[in-house]
Amino acid sequence: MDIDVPTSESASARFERWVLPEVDVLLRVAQSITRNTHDAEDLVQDTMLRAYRSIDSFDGRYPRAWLLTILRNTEINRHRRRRPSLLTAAQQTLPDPIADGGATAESVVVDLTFESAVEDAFEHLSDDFREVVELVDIGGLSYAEAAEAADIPEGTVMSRLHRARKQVRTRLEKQGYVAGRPR
Amino acid sequence: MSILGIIRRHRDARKMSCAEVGEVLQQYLDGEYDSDRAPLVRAHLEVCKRCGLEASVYTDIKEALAHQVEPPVESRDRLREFGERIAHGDISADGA
Ligand SMILES: [Zn+2]
Repeated sequence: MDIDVPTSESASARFERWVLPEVDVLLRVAQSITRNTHDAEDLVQDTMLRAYRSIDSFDGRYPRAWLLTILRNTEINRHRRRRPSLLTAAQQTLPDPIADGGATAESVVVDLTFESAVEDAFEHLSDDFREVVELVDIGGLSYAEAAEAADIPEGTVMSRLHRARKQVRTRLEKQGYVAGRPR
Repeated sequence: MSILGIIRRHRDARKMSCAEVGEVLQQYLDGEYDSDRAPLVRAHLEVCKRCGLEASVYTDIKEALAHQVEPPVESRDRLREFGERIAHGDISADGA
């Protein structure tokens, strides 16, 4: 990747260019990691401050991956709180789809059931698997960016991600949310 | 689509087996299957019911995972503002 950055560019300009556009992604991943709106906001604030402090040494490659690495390290350094129950997290974060659009109550219930089943399956993944799902499906990173963020080879990102989704799928299948794989 | 187009699609669909498609399916759905066989995968998914269903299951899972966390708008707004303030030097990097 060829990035042309004037060496004289101020920290502020670099921060505006690389960090501000990623706030939404950072918040989504933070929310997934902390399962709590308040902690997520704190985590993103700390991440932005750390990013600002190290912005001069950042080479401009993969800004999103760079930021997510900072976010994860920040979270590791923070006091790890026990995750509140899934239900609480879901109540805090789920928008009200009926109010938002014209969906019927029934289809909303079906969607919510499916989505909470997926969420439950996600919770049952190992940490390594959850990490790649967070980076790719929640953070929207490419395999290459996720490899950079998690500091693992791209092939490992791919195999973990695919196995993680297969596990989710198997769990949904057992619970009857999706049909078994046709033979 | 013309008859010829339909015939061509069915012919393309048969150029990969279900097992072969299954192996690259997730990569394909992630937009990471960078191969000249990608059009064959697409044709196969359009024509083969089994693999098409499999693809929609993974698409649903991927979407549900992405929806899983929809942070409140207020959080987003506060953080954007916080970021602006850092950028404008209103907040020192130690958070004070
Ligand atoms: Zn097939």
